[in-house]
Amino acid sequence: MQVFKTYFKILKKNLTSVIIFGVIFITITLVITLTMFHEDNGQFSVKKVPTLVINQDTDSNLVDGFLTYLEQYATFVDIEEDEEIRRDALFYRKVLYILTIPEGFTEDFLAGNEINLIKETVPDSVEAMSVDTAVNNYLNTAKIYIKHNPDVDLNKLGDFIQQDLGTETKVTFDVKQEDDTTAAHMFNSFYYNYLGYIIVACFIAGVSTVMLSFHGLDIRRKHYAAPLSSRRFNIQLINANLAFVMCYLLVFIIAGYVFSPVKLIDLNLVFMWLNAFVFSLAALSISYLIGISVKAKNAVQALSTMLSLSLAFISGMFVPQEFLGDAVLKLASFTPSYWYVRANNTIAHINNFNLDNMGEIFGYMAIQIGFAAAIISIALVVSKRKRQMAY
Amino acid sequence: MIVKVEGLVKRYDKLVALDYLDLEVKEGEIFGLLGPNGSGKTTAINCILSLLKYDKGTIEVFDKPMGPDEYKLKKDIGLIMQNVAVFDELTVYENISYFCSLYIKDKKEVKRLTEEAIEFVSLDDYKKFYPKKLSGGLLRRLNIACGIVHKPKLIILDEPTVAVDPQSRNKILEGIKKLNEDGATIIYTSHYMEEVEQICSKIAIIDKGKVIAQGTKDELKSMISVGEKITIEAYQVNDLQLNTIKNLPNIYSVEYRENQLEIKTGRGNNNLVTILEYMAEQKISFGRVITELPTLNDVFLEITGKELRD
Repeated sequence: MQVFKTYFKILKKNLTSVIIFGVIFITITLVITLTMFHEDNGQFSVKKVPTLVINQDTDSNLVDGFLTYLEQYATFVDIEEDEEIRRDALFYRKVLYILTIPEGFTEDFLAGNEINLIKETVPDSVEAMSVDTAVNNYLNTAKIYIKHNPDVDLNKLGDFIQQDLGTETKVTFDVKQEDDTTAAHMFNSFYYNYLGYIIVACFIAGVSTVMLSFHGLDIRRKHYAAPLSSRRFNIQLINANLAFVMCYLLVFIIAGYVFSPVKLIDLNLVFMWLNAFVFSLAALSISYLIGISVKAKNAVQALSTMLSLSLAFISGMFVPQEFLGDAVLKLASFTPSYWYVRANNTIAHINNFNLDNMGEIFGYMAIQIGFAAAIISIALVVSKRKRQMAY
Repeated sequence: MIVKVEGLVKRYDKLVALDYLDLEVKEGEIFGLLGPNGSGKTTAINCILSLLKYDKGTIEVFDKPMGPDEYKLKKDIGLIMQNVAVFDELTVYENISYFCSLYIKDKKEVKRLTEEAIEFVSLDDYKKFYPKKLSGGLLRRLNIACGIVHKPKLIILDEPTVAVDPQSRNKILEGIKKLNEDGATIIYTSHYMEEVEQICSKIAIIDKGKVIAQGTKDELKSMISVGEKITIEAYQVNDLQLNTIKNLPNIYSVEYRENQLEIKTGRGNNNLVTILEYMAEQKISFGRVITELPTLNDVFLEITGKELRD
């Protein structure tokens, strides 16, 4: 166990960079995934729009009721009635909507004449639309009342309209469970795709650095001269690597679950865990190969950044595979990361697991294991050649 | 016999690194393997330790055939290499303890031996230091501690003093002597003849993969014709006088350069007296007189026709 223990002592010394890598990546990952998740979550709340109302009409019950209703959608701002100042206020976004009620508005409205409310808004303002809607709702409803009951009491008109427009019909869609599941799958898909990048970057930074220490020429010679068989030595190193991978992966799995907006452990998530583990083996084999091939720590760090980013970009960890060109995807299919992302995307879209879709997922995992085996074989050949060429 | 090498041949493509090399190292010896760079010293060591495959020959360690899987034999061998082989990420204590644990299973024993090794190389004050914080000399001592911590019966030191300051070098050499006194057999490779002469009880001079001479330092020196080297600070010596000195009895060679008269004589008494008497007779004024016994370099020079440092 001496090699196993020393592996972790050496790793501990290099752990700072690995932890920093992990924390930064996990923060970025979570921010991005949570932002994307919240963008499309179907929630709505009224946001009041800073509005200046210039009433040139005489005070009337109609205008009072109108302004009372409008207050639900707008925050009234007091600004000097100077055109220059008003324009500045719009320019600097102190107000987003200026509504002018012209002289004779009440009279024209009650007479059924055409009315012209004057509005000034910030160009292309989305907020202005909610004020427009409120204005139209109120005036259209008032028009209906007056048309059908010309003698309606203007003191009460405001209340009637408030009552009518305030009436809400509660509609319940019985899809909460389905929404949660979809949301969880969406989050997990984003999270685990990004995790692929973290796995490659952190494993190369961690595993390769330790391997580099163990495979330095002189250290190797000392090990060969010691009464420790290569087999036992390698088994301890492999076990240590696997232990590191499992621990690191576990941290990310727990972090993913803790930060997930929907706490749901279903078969999809379990498959994503399994896929992440399989991909970790492929990333581990890459890290191992780098660790025994590269001679300097700086080169390891450069490779960690370069390889993780390039694999992430061409495999669809950052940009969905649907948006990538055929040539890029063709190139990416020669990397395990492509199959990892593809497996994740497939898992995320499955609602009912059956032999067909599970077979597809296992197929993708098998390809990743194939990559891992091929890379490890190359690493063993390199290792053997290095041993023969060592002196 | 601790190590017995017979007819060892190692080729790197067309280059013959070891050419039917024979060595015998007996228990309790400090066996010096002396030769210029590229003479095959390290290759021989690597073959002895089975770190390297060889083409022909046999190697026995502790009277048993040595091979890559002979872990019982490896258990009693300590290796100290020219380059410092330690982990930068481990402290002095952790490094020594780790290399000890490759040989010893018992944790308490590992701890005890680690403490002893630290004391032996006088690194007590640096236990918690990382190698990068150590000076070159201290680093060499750490390297030695890692190689001897498990108390091996055979210690192989491959040029352990390269690029080491004189003070640290002396400490290292003293340490090697102490290890030998404590019962370890030592194989010491070097191209520094002074070191080999200083500590080795038996020396093999190796060149182009062959042992060209072997024995104690006195035995080696007795193999050559030069018995004494006399250097005299002399003024205005003419060619005739030089020729006469050359023809004096038991004179091997004479060279005169920049008022330095270098004379090599054969074995025998009164060589110096004869020369000085002649110089007095010829009224040749002279200053300092230095006489030296032949060195291993002279041995190497006479056998191979080139300097050891070439």
